[in-house]
Amino acid sequence: MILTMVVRSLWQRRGKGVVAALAVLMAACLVSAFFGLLWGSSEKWQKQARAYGANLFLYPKDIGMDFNPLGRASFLSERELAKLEKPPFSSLLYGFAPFLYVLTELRGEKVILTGIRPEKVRKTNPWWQVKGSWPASRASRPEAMVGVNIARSLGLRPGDAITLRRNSHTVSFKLTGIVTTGGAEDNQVIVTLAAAQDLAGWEDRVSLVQVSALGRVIPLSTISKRLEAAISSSKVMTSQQLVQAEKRVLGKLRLLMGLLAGIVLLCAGLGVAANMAGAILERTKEIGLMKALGASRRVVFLIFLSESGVTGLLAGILGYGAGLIIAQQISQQVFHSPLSFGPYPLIFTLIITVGISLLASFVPARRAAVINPAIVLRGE
Amino acid sequence: MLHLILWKSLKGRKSRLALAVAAILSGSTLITTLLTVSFNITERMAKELRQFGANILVVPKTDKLVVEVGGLSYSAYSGDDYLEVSTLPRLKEIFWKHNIVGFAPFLQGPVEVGTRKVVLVGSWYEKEIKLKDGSRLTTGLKKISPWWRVNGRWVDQPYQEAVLGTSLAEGLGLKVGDNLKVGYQGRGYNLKVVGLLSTGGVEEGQIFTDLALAQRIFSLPGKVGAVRVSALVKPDDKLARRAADNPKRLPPMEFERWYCSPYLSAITYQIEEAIPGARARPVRQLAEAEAAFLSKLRWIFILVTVLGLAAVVFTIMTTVTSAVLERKAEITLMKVLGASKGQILLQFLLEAVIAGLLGGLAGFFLGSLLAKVLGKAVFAAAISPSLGTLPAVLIISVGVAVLGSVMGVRQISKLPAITGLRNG
Repeated sequence: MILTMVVRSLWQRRGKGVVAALAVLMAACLVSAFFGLLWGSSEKWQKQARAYGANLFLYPKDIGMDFNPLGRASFLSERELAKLEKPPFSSLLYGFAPFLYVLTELRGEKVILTGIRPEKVRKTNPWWQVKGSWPASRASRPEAMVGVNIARSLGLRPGDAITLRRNSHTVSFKLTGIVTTGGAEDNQVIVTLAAAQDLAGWEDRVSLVQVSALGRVIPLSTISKRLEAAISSSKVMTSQQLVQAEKRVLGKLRLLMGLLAGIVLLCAGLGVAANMAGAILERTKEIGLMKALGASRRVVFLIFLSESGVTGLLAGILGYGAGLIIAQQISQQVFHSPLSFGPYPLIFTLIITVGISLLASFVPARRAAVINPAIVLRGE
Repeated sequence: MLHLILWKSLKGRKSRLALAVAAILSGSTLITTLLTVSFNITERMAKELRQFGANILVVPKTDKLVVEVGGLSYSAYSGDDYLEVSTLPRLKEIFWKHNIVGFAPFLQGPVEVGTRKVVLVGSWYEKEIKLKDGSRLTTGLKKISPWWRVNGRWVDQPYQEAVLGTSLAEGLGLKVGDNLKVGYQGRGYNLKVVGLLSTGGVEEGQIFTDLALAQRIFSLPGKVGAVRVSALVKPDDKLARRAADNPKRLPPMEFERWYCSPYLSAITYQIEEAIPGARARPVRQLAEAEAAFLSKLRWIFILVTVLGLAAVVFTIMTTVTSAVLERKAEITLMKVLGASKGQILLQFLLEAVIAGLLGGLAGFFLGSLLAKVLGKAVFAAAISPSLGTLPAVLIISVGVAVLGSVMGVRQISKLPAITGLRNG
């Protein structure tokens, strides 16, 4: 009986009630978009922070106190690094990049030759700026790029040929690009890892591996222990500066987003409450009529409360859907990837719409239930 | 007459007015907070991102190739490849001096410890320097690398103490309190180890001393090899990218605008102007990451603010329109009794303006308060709304309320009187 009345009432008043429902829907949309963005983007910001570069450095174990990779006799094995591409590391690491340093001579000057895997470095060190192109691994002739300082001081341009010499061994490279990093690489010659290993006669050797790890699921200290266990005779150093700064910045961002979400929740709740209360206030005459026809207080109260509940639920679900679409659009726009989030946005949206709708209707519905039909029906 | 009607109407409908004001209040609170946070977010976050370290490296201008890897330089120093330590206070005299958060000078070279060659780095930790205008500034490693951990303490007695990298100390078997003998070109120096440094980087294999001692050891009085500077910068935009190649090629007006904006390129340009023989280069690793982070953050906040604004406009409008629609009978009665369209409209407009002003003002103050609390909680410094926020919020709250009210009244005016007067 009550159910039929609620459904009928909602259906017949679809013109009138729609205004309040739309306001609730809009609030639901706002809340779900916000929560979707806040919950979902925390992971995006962490990936974004990886643009700062590697936070773990994998060295050969017996480097001891000597970080000079040139005079060193110990190396890591390149073959073993394949482990980092497989689970569990594939989900823990944002990327990794092996480096091999070789002291060579270029036109009589001592320069450092660095062997890299371009596709890896591009991901872990996105700030490397290359004019021209990166050295390709399967080129017919070995390719190299030089740091901007070398290019300036020797007057080199892409397309030139350079000859590198180590002991009595010489190799000619085709220059494909000029690299600017603002770091030591500006004074180095960069070739593919295989080319550097060939020139030095150091098969399978790597001086160090830069590892960009995501310490979200598992703390970084655990990841570094697992790395040491996986790669034989290795030692992991953790960049304090990067790790601590990242922790602090992301923490602040999370706090900021959380507080903002709270404010959105508060304001949306207040807006929903005002609208729902208004919708009931509007209908005092109807209530008077119902009571005059013999409806009990309880029935009147229940009818109004359940009407609010149904409105809140419908508007909430629709608004949730709309809000998520908006949140995904924003994420695509900003992060170029969709968000993934748990059930929280839905839960919060429904709390706001159904919960606040009921709460806000409670007082006016109670008041409506005790209305004196004679006074109300008299007209204004 | 009008004010009498208005007064009666407002008084008689206290609860209805209160609800409209509440809806407007919640909306304007939200947009005040969003606008205030959005306007300030990049600036606040930029400050936080300085935690990642120095973003500018100042080195002597030289065309010589430097053999450098992993933070270690293998090139021999030669006569003129240094900066003068006396010129460093000029970093705080450039146009964007307030954006220079801190800096630290470095002078390093290989020394002998027993039979090994180890890099010794001279720098400042917390050094008080005097500026030209008489003020004092504390700067050094603590400012630019806040996350370096020192076990023990930093150097107090410049000529007698040293801090060792943790790995180096382990390798040499030294602890805090032990003595360390370093040699350079036949001269020996006895130092006391007062702290162990952990950074997770090459610094752990180095010896750190005060700049003055490094200058004495390497016989380079008053010289520094490099300076790391931490500066607050604005992310590059079109103008900064056009200036990137050669700022002097910009038209004068644009050059002026570029020079007077805290772009990284403008600050490095000004540093090169201020310090003779210096080349200031951005540390791209930090600069790029920071710019990407900030521009994403700005985007998110712009989109979220627009979303909030749209939702608020819509909610206020529906609330006000429904409040007017409810008074169908009253409006029709006024019409039937001979009130002109203008008179009716005016009454409702005034009501809307009052509700909009009340709700908007209260929302602005509540929103500013929330933003302040939020700023205190997150950034340890209150965020206050900018000058334009109050007018913007009032225009939105009053404007939208008026619009919603006009829409309601017009809808009712269209009804034939008999429909309008019917109950229900």
